Amino acid sequence: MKVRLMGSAILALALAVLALPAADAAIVAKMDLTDLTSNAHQIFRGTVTDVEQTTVTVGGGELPAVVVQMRVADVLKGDPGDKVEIKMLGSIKYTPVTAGDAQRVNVLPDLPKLTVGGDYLLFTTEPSSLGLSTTVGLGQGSFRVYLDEQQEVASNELNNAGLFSGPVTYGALTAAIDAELGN
Amino acid sequence: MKQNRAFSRSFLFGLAFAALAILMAAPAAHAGGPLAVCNSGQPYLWPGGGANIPFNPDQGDLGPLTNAAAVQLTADAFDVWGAVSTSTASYTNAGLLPVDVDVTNFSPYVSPAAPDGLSAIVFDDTGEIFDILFGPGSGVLGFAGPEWVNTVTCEILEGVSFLNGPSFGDLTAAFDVMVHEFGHYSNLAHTEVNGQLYIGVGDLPGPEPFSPYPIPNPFTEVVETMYPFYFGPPIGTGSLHRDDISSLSALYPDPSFAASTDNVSGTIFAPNGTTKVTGVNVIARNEADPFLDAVSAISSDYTDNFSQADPVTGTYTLFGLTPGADYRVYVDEILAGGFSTPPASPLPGPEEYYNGANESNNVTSTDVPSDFVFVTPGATGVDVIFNTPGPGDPLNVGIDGNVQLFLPFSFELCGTSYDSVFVNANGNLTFGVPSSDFTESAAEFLSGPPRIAALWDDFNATQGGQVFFNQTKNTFTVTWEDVPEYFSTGSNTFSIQLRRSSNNIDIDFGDVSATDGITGVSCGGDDTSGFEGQIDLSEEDDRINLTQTVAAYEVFTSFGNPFDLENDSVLFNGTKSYGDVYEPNNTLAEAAAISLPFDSIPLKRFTEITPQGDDVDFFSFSAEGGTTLIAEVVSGGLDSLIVVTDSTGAILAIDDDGGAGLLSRIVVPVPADGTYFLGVTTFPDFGFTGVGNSSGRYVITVETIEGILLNLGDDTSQEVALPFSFPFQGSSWNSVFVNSNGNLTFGGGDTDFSESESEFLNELPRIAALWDDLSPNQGGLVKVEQDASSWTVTFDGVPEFFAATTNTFSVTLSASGAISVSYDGIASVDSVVGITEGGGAAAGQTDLSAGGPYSNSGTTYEQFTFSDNFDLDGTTLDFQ
Repeated sequence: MKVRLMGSAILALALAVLALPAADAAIVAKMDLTDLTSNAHQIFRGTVTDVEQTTVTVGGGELPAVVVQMRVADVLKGDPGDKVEIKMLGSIKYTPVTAGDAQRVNVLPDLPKLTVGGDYLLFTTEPSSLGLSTTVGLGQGSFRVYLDEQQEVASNELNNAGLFSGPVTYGALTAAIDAELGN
Repeated sequence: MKQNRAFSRSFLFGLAFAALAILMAAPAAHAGGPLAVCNSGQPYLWPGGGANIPFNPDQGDLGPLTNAAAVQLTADAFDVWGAVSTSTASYTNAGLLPVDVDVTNFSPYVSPAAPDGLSAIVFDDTGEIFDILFGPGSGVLGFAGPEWVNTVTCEILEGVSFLNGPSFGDLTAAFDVMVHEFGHYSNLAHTEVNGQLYIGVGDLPGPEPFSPYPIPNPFTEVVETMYPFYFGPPIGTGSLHRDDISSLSALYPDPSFAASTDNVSGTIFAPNGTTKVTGVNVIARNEADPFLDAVSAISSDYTDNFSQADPVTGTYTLFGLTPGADYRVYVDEILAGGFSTPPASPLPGPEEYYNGANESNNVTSTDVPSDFVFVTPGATGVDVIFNTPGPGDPLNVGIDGNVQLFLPFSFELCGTSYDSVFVNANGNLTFGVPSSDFTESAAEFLSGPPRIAALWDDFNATQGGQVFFNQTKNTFTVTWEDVPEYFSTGSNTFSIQLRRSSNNIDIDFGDVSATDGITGVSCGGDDTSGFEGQIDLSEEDDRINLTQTVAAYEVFTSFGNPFDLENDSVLFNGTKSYGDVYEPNNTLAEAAAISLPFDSIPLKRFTEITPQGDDVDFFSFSAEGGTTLIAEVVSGGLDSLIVVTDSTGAILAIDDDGGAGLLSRIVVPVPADGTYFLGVTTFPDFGFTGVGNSSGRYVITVETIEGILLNLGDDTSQEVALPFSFPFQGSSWNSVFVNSNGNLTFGGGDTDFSESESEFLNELPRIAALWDDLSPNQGGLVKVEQDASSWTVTFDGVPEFFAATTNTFSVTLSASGAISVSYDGIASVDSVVGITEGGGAAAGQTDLSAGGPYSNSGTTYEQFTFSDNFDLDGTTLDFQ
């Protein structure tokens, strides 16, 4: 008997990227739309299709990383192609690192909160030589696109503080980005 | 209508300087209190009262600063905290790091395997470390915090900070950044007193909408150092606010702190007066100096355990207040920034002042939000009870909003007892969390929170009618009366009544103009399998028995199944608690015997991992050698981990995330007839002893199939050897590329998901059974069966990209060159179907529904579109 039904797959895919329990605090440049646009290597809208845990070897050790796969639907800057892979420092799984009674506290910055199946407009940095990148200004460059009051709106992880007065229509956001890009 | 006006830089910041923000708050961070908590009420602390907290500066330079200058600036920044006279914290340069940390050797400092006796202040001189970790232009300037802690003594053993040198073009900004980061290094969390007034979220210096004091402008001296956002020079964080001084002194108090200041403490309660609320920012402002003599705390900031049983939950303490002064104390919603004492959002009632003996929920007695009494430091029991609407009052659910109401009795739903319910604007009640979702779906109904939907649809009470509640000793009723659909269409009246003791649920409908929506009851994702089907509620004359199902519902659609319960009632009896029916099965010896194929979808085969950290499930089954075993956790909110062993316990395969998301999937050949075991636990319990870190219901499927399973992902291709030379388009092929998007190509693979006629004609030789955007990784399977003269690939139950419907079809290649394509359940409407030699074949479609057979050479095809739908389901196409 076959029992695979898509309903369950949708449920299972609706998993957010989990952050490591951590007690650190990063300091990040507050950016306006000009800063976000100019610092971004690519600006695109897409759907997250998969998130996988991996590691990178760098600086004499191994660090956790997450690979986010996205299907690209709209490109405003750069050429990500139809599909894009973003490898970001961080983890979706928490494994305590202990040494006797000692426990390590994660000090790495949080990942942008990307959910499988979610629709986002991302400003991404140019991948480093390790292939690592992130969204510009961390949560500032990660806009969730969703329906509200029957229209598509976008909001970054700061609820657009300093950019717009709360969620903004997707069309208004892309128009503002296009204006920054001179398109 | 949401505003979408872009702020100018000057609007937000007032000054045309490059602004910086401190964004990060980690999950364990606690705003207004300690960053890391050891036990409830006990933060991690540097030993010795914080005397001589060590730091080890890097040997290298820091951007524009020489090493000597960087070390001096570091010491100066630490000394800002060390100069707090009411704290015993002090800081000592414990000597330079043994190396110049750079991009070649930094990893042991950011991710050490064990304590090394060093508390590194890493100077990334060139920015290469930050660039390699985050990519250039990320804007990350630095990070810091305690690095190693002793979980027994609750002491901080080591700290760490990384600073991005090239970003420090402005030495004042560099200093400000350091002071903020070294606050974290001392174990201070983010805080919010005045900063929110300036960040552009429209906050006021009192409970909304009250603004008793003019907001200072410029605000140079009033923004606290540990506010999550940095406004840049001259709004520096290099000088401490009273709130920062109090926070540090609370962790490392000098005797003068208690002698020269006093505290205010209390608990934040929900409107029922008993449920303690976590994540509410509490601010005290001295009436004589409301911006500089102001201190904040967040309820529950001294605990990681937010359960009601924890005595620290819901409590707050405002430290370092001026003795004898008059303070207004109020509760404030955190609107922006990173806080990991999870901010309460929305608050369970409007922001309000503490109102002394008159403090109440504004129903049992009057306590309007603007009423206050002055609080004198030293006061304890300064408890705030959030207000609530009274019976019959219009509930301010707004557009897609919600109101939390506390019940006059405990209501049990699906084994959990609730003392409150969220009334959601869109025609439903949820338990535990609110729901603003106006795009109802069966999947969300099943996977979301426990929900009772009278008619989950997009309603708008701001344009007409009202939502209100009434209650008696034994009933609690929420009514939507004459409420239009969004924006202002029609009128809808219905109610949901909850009953004491029986836990029955009555849904009554009056006049209803809406034709779509969902009606029913769902236990939510913790209990549902995700496979529960809908029922025709109009056919249910008696109470629907919820003891036999975790979800009973009907999805109404305007055209296919319009709402048909107007002026009718739908009644449900109480639900029950559900549990794993296979327990105890915690060892191989206790393994529950199952027969294949197996799935745990029905309630009678309910499987779950619980309690968290102390459960593992084992199953035993027989399987035939030569088949392929597929075991998959197909739904669940946990991070599953599964293993398959033989009868001796030897591992055949183990998987963590091979399924969807964090779920698991194993595909493994069965080596011989015999008994096998399947173990299910959660990450990181690789020993399968039950010590995983997530829990909940899961649905597992176990089956064996004949043939070879292909591991196709989304838009992937896999080359498969053929058991014979297959003649096609003038060549003989020994292999074929099976493409996940429903087609076969020869001589190369093709991952293109956007099928087109021109690509079909101009690219590779192709057999397109259903060239469309299919995603085998999201459901179904693709398998190959073969013998000496035939080879068949089957796409079985494969969905389109993020679609809920599936497609089943197969292609058989014969050694003779014949091709047969069979369709057995197709949901796709658009695709390209046919065969081609590619490479510039001539255009010209054929109506394939006319029947065949067709030639197995050359090009024969049809393109189906959204206006000319696929029409071959149930047929077989023969190319001979």
